[in-house]
Amino acid sequence: MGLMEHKFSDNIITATVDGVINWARRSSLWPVTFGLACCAIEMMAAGASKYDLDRLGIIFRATPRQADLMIVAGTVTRKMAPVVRKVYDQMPDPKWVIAMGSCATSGGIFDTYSTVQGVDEIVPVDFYIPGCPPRPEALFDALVALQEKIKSDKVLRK
Amino acid sequence: MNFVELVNKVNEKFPGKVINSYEKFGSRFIVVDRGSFKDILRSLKYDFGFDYLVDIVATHWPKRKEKFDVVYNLFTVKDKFRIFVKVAIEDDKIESVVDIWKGANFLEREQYDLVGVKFEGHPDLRRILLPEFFDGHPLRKDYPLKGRKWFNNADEQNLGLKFSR
Repeated sequence: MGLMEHKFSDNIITATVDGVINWARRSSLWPVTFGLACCAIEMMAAGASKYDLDRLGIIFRATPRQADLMIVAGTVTRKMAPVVRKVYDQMPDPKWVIAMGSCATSGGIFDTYSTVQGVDEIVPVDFYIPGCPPRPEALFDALVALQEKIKSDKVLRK
Repeated sequence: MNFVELVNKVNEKFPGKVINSYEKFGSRFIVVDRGSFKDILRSLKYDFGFDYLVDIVATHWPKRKEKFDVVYNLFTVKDKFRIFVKVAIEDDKIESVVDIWKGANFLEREQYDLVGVKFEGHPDLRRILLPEFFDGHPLRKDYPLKGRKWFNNADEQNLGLKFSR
């Protein structure tokens, strides 16, 4: 801080633009609700008062147009696949995807004629959460890991 | 209502057309003749009060001479009495019962979709659960469990989706 010390008035702080933008992004992750099966119940439990996602600034939005994170919670069937992709396409950049539970990760126990074997066949996935279904703690782990990842993103300098 | 009484009355009305009747797993089954099953079902509704067709289920028996069983789950709202009427068919065709119970429409479409039994006389027999570009009928015993080749049969929303697993 040597050069800039005492050059500005007291209420000015200095930071990199990347730092400010990344701080804003990771402190207000708004996920679009995408509950497809029982994992959605754990996702709701994570959002409810006992675990309380709101304290991380995570507020569920019912539209992809206001969201920057998609938590795919549950079994994705072939019939649902285009819908998942369409919702993802409607989200504004920057956007991230968490595959919650073994079904969204790999198809899980549903190695059958109708189930997509992992949502990464349709959309790019940032984090995978194992579990059937994962506990809210596991979802929190992925969300905090995502926040750590956003911390090191480069916005202005590519 | 009493099950034995009911079977005797149906037997009186349609002599020789009730092949078998038994109670198993806490349920009551009546196996009826292929040729007159529809008359028996109509009589069960209008003479015996089975006004509610709960479900139609088709089962596949690939090694048997009669390849399919069609099971009608009937219920009387008045007496709260449930019976299962079974019909064995050799090919995959059977007469529709939509003209007796209107609710049979979707039930028959579901069985046509998943098991591939063709209900003749159905007003609108097409798939109800699976997409139109699906091949075959997944609940047949000879359908491969992991048959996912049909995933790439269509790109119905033009999103460029490709499935590889």
